[in-house]
Amino acid sequence: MDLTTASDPSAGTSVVAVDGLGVSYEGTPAIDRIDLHVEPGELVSILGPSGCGKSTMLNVLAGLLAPSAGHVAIAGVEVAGPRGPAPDLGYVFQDHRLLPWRTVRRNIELALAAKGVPKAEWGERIDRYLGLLKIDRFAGSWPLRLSGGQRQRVSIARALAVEPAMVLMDEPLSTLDEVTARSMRQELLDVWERTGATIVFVTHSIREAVFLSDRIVILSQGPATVVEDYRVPLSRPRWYEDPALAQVEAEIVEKVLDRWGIDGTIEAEAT
Amino acid sequence: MTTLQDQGTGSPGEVRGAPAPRARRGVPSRRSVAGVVLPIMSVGSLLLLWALFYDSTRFLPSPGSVVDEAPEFLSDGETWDDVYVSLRRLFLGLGAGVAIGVAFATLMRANDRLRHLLSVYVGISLRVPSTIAAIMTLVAFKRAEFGYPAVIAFITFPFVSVGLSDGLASADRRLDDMARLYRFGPVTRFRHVLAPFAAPFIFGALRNAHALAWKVIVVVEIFGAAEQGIGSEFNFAFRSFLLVDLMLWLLLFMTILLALDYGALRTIERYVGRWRPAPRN
Repeated sequence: MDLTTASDPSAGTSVVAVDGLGVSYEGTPAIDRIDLHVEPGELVSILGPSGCGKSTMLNVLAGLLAPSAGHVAIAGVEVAGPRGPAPDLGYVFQDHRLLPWRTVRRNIELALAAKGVPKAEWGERIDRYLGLLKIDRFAGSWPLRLSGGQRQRVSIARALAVEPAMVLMDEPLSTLDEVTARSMRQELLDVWERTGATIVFVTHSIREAVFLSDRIVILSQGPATVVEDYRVPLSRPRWYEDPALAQVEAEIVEKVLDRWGIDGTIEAEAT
Repeated sequence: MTTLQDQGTGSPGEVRGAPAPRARRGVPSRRSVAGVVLPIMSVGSLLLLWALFYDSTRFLPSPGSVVDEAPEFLSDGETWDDVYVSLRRLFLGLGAGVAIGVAFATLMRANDRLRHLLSVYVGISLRVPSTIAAIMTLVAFKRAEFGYPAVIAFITFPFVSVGLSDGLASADRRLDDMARLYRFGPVTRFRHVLAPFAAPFIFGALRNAHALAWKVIVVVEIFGAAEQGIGSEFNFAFRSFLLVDLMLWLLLFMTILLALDYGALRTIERYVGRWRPAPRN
């Protein structure tokens, strides 16, 4: 498994450990209390309505925002906001966030350099991850000459190439058209299985969460609390149109309907 | 004396011409036929007008007489000495103007109080007529050689500063966040995130400042009664009513200016902006 991402060698330790996390802005709580543990190699989705505090939580995990209460640790290292040590993670944003004036290869090189990966390893590593995402032929291209889906593949390749303890994905497929998003979801699973990466995937699409995840952490409307830590009762490989998947989706819709209320954004797709 | 009539160019509106980073450019991003042929045609049309109408004026020499004089004019070492002196003043001044402009823009972005303070200086120097600036600076420096680039720097820096400030103000934080999350160091952030973002604004401002610097240098050399430089030659030719010489100097002046703008500045700008999607036609 030479593709395995670096995870904490001390087995049994969660890659992500969030205990009693609370965040408030000037006295107004954005996150009430969140507990979350993610084990090495897991793919966990965080599902919540718009404005529930998902982005706040991501900012805390990414070390951009200090928690007001509780503890957050990634790969055993306490994450304490902008002043603490930077957490060891790869990040895939909603939009690609590639430097448009640097080639695909250079974009990934900059992330590798910042991570302290020796220069001698760059070439092989970039080729490997671009190959995994099936975009190796675009290594020398300018990002803005690529399609939206290709850019997002580069963004995912960059996040994986730094071989972080965990990859955080913030609704990475939400800006793509549905057909592209579907094939990307499938490929994301293939890549995840081949790399053994630990992925925390944020989404507001229930179907997407059910299709991808081992577990779904369902959040309440803001200020967020965990409504349920739900283990997806489906074996892999999964099929997006599987009636069983639709059934699980319906079950989750049922769970959240009261919690999120009529105004909560529920993106259940019609079958 | 076209140069004396162009004092109004210091209007702040001109700086707003700095290109938006993603906007389609007036200049084709690749060397296209239109990008080469059309400018040549516009220059040609001016020469044609000259050839057709010089006769009906009292101040234009015939193209023939100018062409006859050209070989001697161009092979004269003193011609190029004058060009060199003006170019040196111009580039020293422009270089200092860009450096000060970038420094101002950076400081104004970094600190709100500094912004209020410095924007007054920028506003003043943006509006001082370049003739007045020339006279005062030359008096202040007692007509020392240093005074010439100093005027150029004083006239051009606010254009760079305003152009760059506007550009930086439009920077969105998203790439900054990315750079932070991937732990880019300050040098990497500057080199790979901020500088390339600001490049089109710097180039836009630089092209304005460059054109302005050429207009000003001639005026400054005339007012400073410089002993050398293109301006002093203009002045001499004008006073002595050497119309052919005046025309030769004007043509050489325009050739150098256009060669630098189209040949150097735009070529570099195109290279730096080669990542942009090709314009769709």
